[in-house]
Amino acid sequence: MTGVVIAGGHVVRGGGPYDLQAEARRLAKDRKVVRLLDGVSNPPFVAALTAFASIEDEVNRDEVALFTVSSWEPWLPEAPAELVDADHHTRYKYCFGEAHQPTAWLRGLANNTLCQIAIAGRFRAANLHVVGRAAALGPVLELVSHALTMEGAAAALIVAFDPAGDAHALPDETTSNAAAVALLPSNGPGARSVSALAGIIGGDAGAFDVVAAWVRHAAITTASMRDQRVRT
Amino acid sequence: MRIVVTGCGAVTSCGASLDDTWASLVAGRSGVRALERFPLYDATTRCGAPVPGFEGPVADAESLAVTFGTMAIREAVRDAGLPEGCDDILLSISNHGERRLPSNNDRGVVADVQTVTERLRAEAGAKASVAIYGACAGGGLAIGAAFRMLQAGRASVAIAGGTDCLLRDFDFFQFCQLYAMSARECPPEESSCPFDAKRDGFVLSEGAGFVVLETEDHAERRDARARAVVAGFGSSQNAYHIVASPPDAIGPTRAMRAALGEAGIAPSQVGYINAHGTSTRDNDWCETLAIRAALGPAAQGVLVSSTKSMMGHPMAAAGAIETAVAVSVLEHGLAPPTINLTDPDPRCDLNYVPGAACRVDTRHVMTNSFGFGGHNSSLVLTVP
Repeated sequence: MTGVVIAGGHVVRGGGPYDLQAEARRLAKDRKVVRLLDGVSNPPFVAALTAFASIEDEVNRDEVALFTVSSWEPWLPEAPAELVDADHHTRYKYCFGEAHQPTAWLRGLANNTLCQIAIAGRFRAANLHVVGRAAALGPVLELVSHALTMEGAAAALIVAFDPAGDAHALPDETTSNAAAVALLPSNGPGARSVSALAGIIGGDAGAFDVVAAWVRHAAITTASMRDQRVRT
Repeated sequence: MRIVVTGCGAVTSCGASLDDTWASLVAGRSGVRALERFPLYDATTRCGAPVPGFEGPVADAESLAVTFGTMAIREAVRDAGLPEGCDDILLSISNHGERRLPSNNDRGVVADVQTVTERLRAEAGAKASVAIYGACAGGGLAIGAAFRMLQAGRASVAIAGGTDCLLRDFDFFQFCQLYAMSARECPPEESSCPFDAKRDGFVLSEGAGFVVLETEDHAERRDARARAVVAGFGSSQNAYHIVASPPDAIGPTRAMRAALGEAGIAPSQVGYINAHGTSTRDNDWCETLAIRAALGPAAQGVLVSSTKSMMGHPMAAAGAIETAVAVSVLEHGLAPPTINLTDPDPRCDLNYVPGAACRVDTRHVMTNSFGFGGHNSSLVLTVP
């Protein structure tokens, strides 16, 4: 398994559903993705593109692989009280009346966040969204390893986000905690095997907790290496 | 280390098993019909492609995704002859969960992604599972991910594929609102017409497809028959739009090139491609452009067909069902047709096997799956 270095990382914790909209708009630059971002997807969008910023001068964007993991699975809007025991046609009219917006359904797709990050970042290499908690990062790390060693990916982004509240909340009803790491293939100082990252995966933790730990660990390692260089 | 396919199962609108599906496909029989499952009101689309025996209303709490997945997994496991108690199985599955119109203060969820995954993990007797959400590319991506897990030694056996039932009222009306489905006035069985000039959208279907993948060593140790070898897999992102196909076709081209590169074969060695071929305006010419770019001059000689012309689009199950179909193509030396292709779009100018199945003598086939969100998946399968 190849060595990798965590070359960038960023953690974003919740806030209000649209607190990050301005930052997301700045990071999206000329790509019209903001209308498909919301309380759940803004934090991972900002985390991913901020983590990527630390390596953007080193890599070809077309060759960046992107993997997202989240326990978020939105359900549908709760039917109002007047729809209790309503007939099928009444419920149909409620859901698909004039106020209905198809973009709301698109924002509720679990892979919407990955899509918007890829569009804004112009990342075209291997990619996948996995629904799950920390254990889902194990398979993702195998795919990252293969992408970096066998498929010519220049870098890989792993983005984990978990809803701050109800895992089934609608995308604009809640926010999320998100962490992202940018991995570069490396056998130099500070490099570790991808499998070493897998060793940090905890039992029943959320994927966000684990990737946030990677970011903290990388920050400590980087600071330690910098201190060593200063001392020598 | 070679990874082989030792079992296949499929539940589709063309048949409740792979054998039945295959028989319908090579005969050019459509599974598309007028929808009877729920009231359609003023919906512009009036047809769909339900699994035979499940055409009528469905109980609110019944998950057809679980039912179809269970049927397909049992068929694949039986076909592979997997012994009971095999304790090193990974389940790699793609699905979208299952919804209906909300009522009675509930939130319309019949079964979410993780519920479907967990119920089928238990059915498969798998020690672990990975729940992939790749929209219409999901089935192919799930098989590709399982392929990588086996290559990495994370398991000896994987049951991989997809199951989906979006042919319920809530998602059906959503797709109507997106103008994604065919609304053409014609007999239902003529609605899905990939690569034809009159195509105007896909036909929503349902079903499941699963394959049993094993390391070749594991298969040989238990004297299992290898039906095909997974020779290459490629995935890529369009990075263009959440639903629209990219006009440059670079994304799908990359996926096909990656799969061919890993398989180590020349484009001219691919004898058949099971196309994503949805019958939407954009997908079919974009895929044609991508096949031309990936295969170069060899594109002119390859047989390409869309089995969605007969079974409709089963969403997350599509790529897995079509992988099982591709295995059958290798075994039978027959390419299923693209039906309803009578007036080809000038921009779709490959050999799409119009109308009737034809012989194909090849050792290598490819299957493509592309999805909302910009996902692309291509798999190359080879005779053992």
